[in-house]
Amino acid sequence: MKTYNIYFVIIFSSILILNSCQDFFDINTSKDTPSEVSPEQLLPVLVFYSSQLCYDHAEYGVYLSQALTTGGRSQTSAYAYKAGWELLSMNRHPQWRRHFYDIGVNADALIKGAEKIDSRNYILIARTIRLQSTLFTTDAFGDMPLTQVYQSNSPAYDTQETVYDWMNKEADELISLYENPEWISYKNNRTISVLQDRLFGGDMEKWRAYAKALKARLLLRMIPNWKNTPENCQKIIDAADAALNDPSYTDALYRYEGGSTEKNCPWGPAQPKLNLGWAQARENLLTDAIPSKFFAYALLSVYSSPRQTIGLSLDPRAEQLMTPRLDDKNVNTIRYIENNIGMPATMKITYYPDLYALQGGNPYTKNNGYIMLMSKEELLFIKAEAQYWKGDKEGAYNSTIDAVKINMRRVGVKMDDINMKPFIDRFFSIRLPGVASFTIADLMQQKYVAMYLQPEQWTDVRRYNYSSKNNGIAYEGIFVYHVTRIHDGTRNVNPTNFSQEYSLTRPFNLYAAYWIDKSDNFGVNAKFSPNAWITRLNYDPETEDKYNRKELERLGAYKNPDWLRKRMIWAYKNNSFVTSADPDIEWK
Amino acid sequence: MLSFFLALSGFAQQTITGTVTSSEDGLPVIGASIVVKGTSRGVSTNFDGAYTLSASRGQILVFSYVGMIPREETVGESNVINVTLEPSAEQLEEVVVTAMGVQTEKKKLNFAVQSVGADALTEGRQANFINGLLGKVSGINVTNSGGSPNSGSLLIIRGISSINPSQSNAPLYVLDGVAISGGVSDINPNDIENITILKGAAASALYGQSGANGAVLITTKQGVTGKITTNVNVSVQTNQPIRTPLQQTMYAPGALGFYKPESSGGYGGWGALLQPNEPRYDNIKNYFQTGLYQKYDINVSGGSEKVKAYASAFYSRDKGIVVNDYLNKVGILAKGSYDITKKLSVSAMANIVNDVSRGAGGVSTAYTWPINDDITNYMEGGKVRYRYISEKLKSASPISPLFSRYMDYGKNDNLRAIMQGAVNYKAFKNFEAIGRVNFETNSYLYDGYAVPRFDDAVILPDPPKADQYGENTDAYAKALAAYNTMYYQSPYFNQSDYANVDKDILGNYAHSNSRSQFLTLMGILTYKINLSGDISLDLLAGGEVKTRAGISSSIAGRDFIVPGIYSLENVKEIQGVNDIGVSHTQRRNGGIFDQATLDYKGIASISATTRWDWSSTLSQEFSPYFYPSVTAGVLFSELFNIKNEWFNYGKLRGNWAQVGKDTPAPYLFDRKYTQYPTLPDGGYGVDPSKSVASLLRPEMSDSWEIGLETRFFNNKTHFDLAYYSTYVDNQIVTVRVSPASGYILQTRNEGTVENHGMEFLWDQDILSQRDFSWKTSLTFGFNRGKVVKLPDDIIEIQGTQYTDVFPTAYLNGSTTAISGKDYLRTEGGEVIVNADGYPKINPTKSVLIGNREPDFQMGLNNTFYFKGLNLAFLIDGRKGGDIYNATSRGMWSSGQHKDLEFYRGRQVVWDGVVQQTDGSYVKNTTPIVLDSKTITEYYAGVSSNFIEDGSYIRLNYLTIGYDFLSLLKKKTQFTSLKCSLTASNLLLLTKYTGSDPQINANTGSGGTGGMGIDSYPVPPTRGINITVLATF
Repeated sequence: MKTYNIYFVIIFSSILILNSCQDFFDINTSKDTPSEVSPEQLLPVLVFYSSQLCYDHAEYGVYLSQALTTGGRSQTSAYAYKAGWELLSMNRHPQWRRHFYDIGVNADALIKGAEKIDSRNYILIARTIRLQSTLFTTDAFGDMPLTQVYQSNSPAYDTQETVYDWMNKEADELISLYENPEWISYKNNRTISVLQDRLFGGDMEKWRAYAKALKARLLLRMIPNWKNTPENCQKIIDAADAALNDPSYTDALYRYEGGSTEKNCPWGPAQPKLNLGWAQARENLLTDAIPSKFFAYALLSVYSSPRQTIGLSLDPRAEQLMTPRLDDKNVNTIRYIENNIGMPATMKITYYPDLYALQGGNPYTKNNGYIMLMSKEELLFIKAEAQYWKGDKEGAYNSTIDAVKINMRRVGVKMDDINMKPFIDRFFSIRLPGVASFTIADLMQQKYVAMYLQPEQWTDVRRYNYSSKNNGIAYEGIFVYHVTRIHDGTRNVNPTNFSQEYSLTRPFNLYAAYWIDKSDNFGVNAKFSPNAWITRLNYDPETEDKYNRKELERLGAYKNPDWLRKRMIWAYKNNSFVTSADPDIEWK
Repeated sequence: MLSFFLALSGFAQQTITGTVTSSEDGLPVIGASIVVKGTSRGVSTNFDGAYTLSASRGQILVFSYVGMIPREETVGESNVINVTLEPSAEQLEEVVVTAMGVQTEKKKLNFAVQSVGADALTEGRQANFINGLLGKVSGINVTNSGGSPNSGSLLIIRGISSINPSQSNAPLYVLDGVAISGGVSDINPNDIENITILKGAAASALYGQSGANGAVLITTKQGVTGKITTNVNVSVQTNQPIRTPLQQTMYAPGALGFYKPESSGGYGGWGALLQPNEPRYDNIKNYFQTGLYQKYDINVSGGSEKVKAYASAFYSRDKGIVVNDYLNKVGILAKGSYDITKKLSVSAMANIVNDVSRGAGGVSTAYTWPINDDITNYMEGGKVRYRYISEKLKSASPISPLFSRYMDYGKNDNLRAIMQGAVNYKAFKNFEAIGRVNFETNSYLYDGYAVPRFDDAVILPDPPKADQYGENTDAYAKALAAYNTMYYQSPYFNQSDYANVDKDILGNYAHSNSRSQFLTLMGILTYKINLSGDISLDLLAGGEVKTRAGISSSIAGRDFIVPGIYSLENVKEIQGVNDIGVSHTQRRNGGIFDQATLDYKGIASISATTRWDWSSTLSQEFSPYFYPSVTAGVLFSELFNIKNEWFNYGKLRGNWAQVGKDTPAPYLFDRKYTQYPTLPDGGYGVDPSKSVASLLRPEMSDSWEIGLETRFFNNKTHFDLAYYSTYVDNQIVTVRVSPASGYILQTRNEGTVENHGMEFLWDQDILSQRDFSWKTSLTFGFNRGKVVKLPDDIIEIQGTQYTDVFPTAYLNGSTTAISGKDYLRTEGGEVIVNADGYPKINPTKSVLIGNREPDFQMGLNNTFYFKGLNLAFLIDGRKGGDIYNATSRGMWSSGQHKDLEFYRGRQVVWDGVVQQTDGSYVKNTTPIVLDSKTITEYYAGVSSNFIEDGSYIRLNYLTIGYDFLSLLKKKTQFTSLKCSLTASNLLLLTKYTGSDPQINANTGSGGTGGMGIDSYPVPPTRGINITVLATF
């Protein structure tokens, strides 16, 4: 019996010892990694991400809006969205995660941290950046989690209408808080230096103007399809004016200094690839990119036989946005190709223009360039578009002229140089000769050029449903992305020589069954179909396909190529301004 | 340790001689031990069974030999004592080491256990003994990552139980009774006496979570009472690369049939046809060399009644088939035991091994190197030779991979020390207390640099400006062309390049250090109670505490300042936290366990275990966690007395067990922030690369097993059969979740997998005669792993990506499946082809395209002895088991595959069907041309084209050995002088076209693993080995 006792005593004393030593096992916190950081540390990262988000959207957008194309073709690489127009089988799209995680989670942490120290200025900035991010995200994807976000691993998706309602409310609330001294001059507000806030150096008044500008961009979605009424047009004009007339208005520019990796502007020749713990971003492959025929030939109207007396193109911005290079015939010119037909095998990419524009003045494609979150010309174009649809053509024309001039100056056109005057005058006389001939096409085409490498470019094109002669969609009978007055290739540059026309054309895919096999009226000629254009990105395949499949199936977005063609709510036909040559068009 | 051996020496009063023979066959017993009782003096018998020894009259001589009953003789008047030894009963009843180091007769175990002895283990001369288990143990899967000395090997027992890539499926390795951390490739195979594999959860239930994947118990050699034995072993082996990929010999590099050396980065063969007189190089063959492996071993062992000791030292050099790929090892092992009193004994062991290696690097560049360029010509004028200077990025300029092999430097230096101690106290009859401690420390150091690829000393002038030439575009063009010629064809930078370039190509240096320590303390009490004459109860109880702590630091820099000085002190750039880091990890586990075994006359038994585990990595809510096991067995041959002439033994056994597992990594519950020093304004943000968990339960496996053991024909035929089923729930997986959840990576409990399988072992003593014997052994086994449940709508848990292919655990499919791209197919599986003749590619990624699990695996081992000559060979093989041949795919897409000589440019009709307007399908008849675009997009672009059947039969090794002792003079110090010649990987019969069907791209043991993925491994080798072993 004695031995049994020993046995049980040992067992029970062991249990007792191990239980009492629970602390012995309580060592599950890393000594190297903080689990909480202060708003001062978080803000520079959040502001940086707001710039990166703009880049992410623009990097897809500049190819999807067909301003640029690629020399090679591939549907399997991480760049398949532009090199092969393949989106479904890609591994990841960075924009989704950029909003919900990089911006969303850091903004949440920043707001909580700011509440802890009762510094309200941080809260306003974080909410403003989140609003900007929400707008870009819903405009790329449509429905998205909002009310249930961060509450589960598979939050339900809110409709795009709900997201817009929330954004409108949030914008209004932010604008009112920015005007409330209890917020912007609050006694506990910590000083925010330019080292934390590269956009506005913590200046709450500049942030206020930026919030107003965001509101104008937000309201713009109501036209030309969604809620295109004179009252709403006036709301847009008022919102744009509120920003433009704010004495503190400053363009929202995230300036890079250059240096190593992410210290370079993402559009710069250093091609920085954001790799903060997880390779997600796409480096700009402007080294492999080629201007599209639509952009270079039609919109910029480059000359086939350039001379010093006439320049390289009708639009003086062309040489600022891209630097011509010697082609295979030793001619210094801006070559271009049609989207996705691929570069001929005998050509070299170096025969096409240098898109870093080493000799050009644009501030985007330099290592020490900037990402433009908001610009004055964009606000003027917003105003012009609302004026146009309100019926104020003259106002629209004047706003457009102002916007183009600001944009020209920004990208490096020497507006005050006497030698440049003939070029500038020729441009305006051909492209924007006067109110009488001014149409929505002129306005949107100029905005297209001004929004080169900006996320708004693709959004604008989609708002107008890629309106072109090829797909037959017109606004008040005008094909918006159908360019007339293109140079005829002769050596003269008289107005009569600008007699050619060219219309936006959807590129062929290499083999993607889901494009070509669509059995609509156009069959294998789907490139002419009004239904066969990409109007949204599919949800991030790596995560949403797996973890929110039910929501995707509910929406009809699960591995469904048709989803890519489903229009945003602001692109549905909701009035009689828009018409289509194809009676079977699926407006939704 | 030296004192142990000194204690064995003594002096003589009278010389005794004699012979020792076996009662079984009357033959001399070679190497029998004769010890003067109560002293440390002793000798061994020689080749004729003879001995000579000094002893005093009245002293007792103890004669012993493994497997025979020891005998004692008193020294009398006669100086000659001849002895005959009887075989012991234990020889018939195999004794194995089981959980917690307890030795038990195999017949008393109620779970699957299999042992491999020293001879069988080292027969194939494998440097890593894990490879020596292949084909000799049923129910295991051994794969390796290629033919480099630094290739890893992976042993998986009874399939994958955890599908999380960071959760290990490796078995627990137990060295002399105590669990050690990590792998066992450091352990010298020649020091191993025996390996015992505990296959099922029941077998390893006492070890707790570490034993959830089975356990490999390694028993090292130890001294034998009465004699000092010395073994000297020299082994030399040459290795030749085999099954290297076949390359096309027709086309130059380029694109679309045009000769463009810079296309596709200057690799591959998509250019024009080479002219017959143009040079062609066999770059793949020239890239490799003959490998040479050498190993030198010495071990000394001996013992008296109270003291036993064993010591060994070895040195090995393994030169791989890739230039400067090597692995050099030096190690010592010393162990000893001392019986202080009859009740109290102590033992200690120390094993210290130092590995120094470089590694083979990738071979893909060699496989895609253009055939018209000599890969061995890597230098030009004392500097790196560029194939051309890239117009875009100089870092993309191709240089021969041999440049890096010869010019760069890298050294991995790993020092591992395992120190163990044990105390055994038999306090009273049938009661034993055992205390064990294992302390292990691993120090790892990496030191390496890459020499500069470019010289940044020369800054070129600005390029010519167009406006300086006015309208004279020709002059400008010429000036620019001249500039470009200089610029692009000289490996120099201008200032703008320097600002933008990745500075690593200006030379870089990396240095890292890590140290980990692993401490296990364990106490066990055992007590045996005889409840009645026939029934006994064995009790075991114990507890253990394990702590693991690690610290690692690293520093790197780039751009050497003074040319030719490759030191970290000579770099221009070291970037903040990106280049410098120090991290710490720590985790602790504890457990208490017990076991009760009720035995009836040794013919029926039932046993139960319970265990509580504590883990620092789980939420305290679920720690400790509990799991039990029950086993039962009956010797029906004894119970029902059905033994007869041909049927000697029959046992039926069964068991059920649960085992829990904690998380693979610590610190999972906090949100983690990290510094971003590379951002324009720095700052801290959430760290997306670190997983976060909210609540974690332990992973729990539930398994049962039933087994049958039988022996026939005088025990000459053994059959062992086992069927098992395992169900693992609450899989702890780290998954990439929707960022709308607020996380990128989450560690969660999700999913269930199950395994079931069968194992069969047949041992046959075919012939056993005086001069000739032949034994054969057949192992057979299969496992079926299935993913039963995944949460939400997840269909797979992926492992490491290879191109667009994932090794994956696929819902309702295999735990070792393959997913990737495929064609669109009809329900019948036919490829759907467009009306234009081109196949349609399924836009969906992650289509289930393969299953890497073999249908079955088997091994056939044969050993023959004939008068001192022995011959053995192993044939192993498997049926099924898909392999993703990424190497072949790379050869296709780069235009270098041999088959392109036949297919490229050919007009073919794709094998498929075309859908008609009514929905029906007709056979495709439209021809298409297989140009480079079609091949890369429609063939190489579809991963399912590169799934191959991995069935094979291999003559794994053939060894022939002879003991030359009989040829020597009879009076020699040697007791054995064996020489053996071994050829490995002699013959492989397989349809698989890649390197080796046993391939594993990544021998990490996590999750679904990398077995069956052939992604540019170092090719397998064929070896010829000569080993000489002298024993004296």
